[in-house]
Amino acid sequence: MRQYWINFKGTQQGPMSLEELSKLGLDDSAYVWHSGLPDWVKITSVPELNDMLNGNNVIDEIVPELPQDDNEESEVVVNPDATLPSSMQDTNGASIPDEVPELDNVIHDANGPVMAEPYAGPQAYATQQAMPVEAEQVPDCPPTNLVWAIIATLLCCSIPGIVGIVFAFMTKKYYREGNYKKAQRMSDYGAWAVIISIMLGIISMPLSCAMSFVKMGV
Amino acid sequence: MSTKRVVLTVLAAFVVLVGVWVYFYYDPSNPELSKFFPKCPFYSLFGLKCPGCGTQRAIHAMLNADFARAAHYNALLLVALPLIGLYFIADIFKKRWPGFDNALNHPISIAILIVVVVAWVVFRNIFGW
Repeated sequence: MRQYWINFKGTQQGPMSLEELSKLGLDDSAYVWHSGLPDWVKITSVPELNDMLNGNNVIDEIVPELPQDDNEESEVVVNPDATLPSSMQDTNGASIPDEVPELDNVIHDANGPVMAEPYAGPQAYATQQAMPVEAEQVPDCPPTNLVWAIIATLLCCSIPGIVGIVFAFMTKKYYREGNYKKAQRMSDYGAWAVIISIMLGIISMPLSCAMSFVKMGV
Repeated sequence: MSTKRVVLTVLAAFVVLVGVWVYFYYDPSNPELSKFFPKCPFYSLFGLKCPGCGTQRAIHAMLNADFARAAHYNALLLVALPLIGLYFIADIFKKRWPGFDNALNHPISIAILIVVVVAWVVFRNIFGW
């Protein structure tokens, strides 16, 4: 019996059987890995899981089938929350006659070397999963610092102030396009533009006063 | 966190009050006093007026209720001050009127702001406002 590791809404679970997966209420934003896959893939790209998502009747068909197999196998299915590690379930699964082609893979899993792959998953998760998760839960817009940029333009030092307003525009633009990372970066740049504007204003104040003292005499 | 906020607010209020007092009593356009007021670094370097040039004189005129003179020194400031007030109000009541805040912070609104500021710089340097 094939075991799956699943990445759904930011949490990783596994190993799990197809039947356990069907109870999680997954949707097509989930990512999945099983032995033989080089990396995490979208759940919809695994045929049997895609079938599972599209209708429960597929699972209903599978579940009655299982008791026809060995008793061992049905035990595994009946105890989905067995706390034993995957190796136990994998070897159980390996004893099923019609899973023989997968036997090699499963044993490698149980022995360790390939087991590292699910743990390499989080890195893949960070890059692959980042987009879908953010699309689901829309973050707040990063601060545009617009008011401070306007105030800096008028009161402190105009050129970085205008740059700050432009960054405020870019922040909102990228945020509306759903590019939250870039929006955050533009927000940071805008904050720096305002800070630079204020600093230049503070530095230039005594300097310009000193210059006019020199020119006009005290 | 909250004590830091209180301290910052009090400090900001103090600075604003001192500024208001100074700019109410002392006229930056007075030739004898002007050397005590900071000059625009952009104007000193390039001889071109920036969007903020004339703000100090305009604030002095405004504090003395002479809005025509304030507009003469820096017309943009006269328009921008109520606008800045609107932005703060929109931010404070963001929960109650989200549409108002969204409209003010819409990319189109910000784009209009940028166009207005740039047009103001071009305009005042060509026509010497």
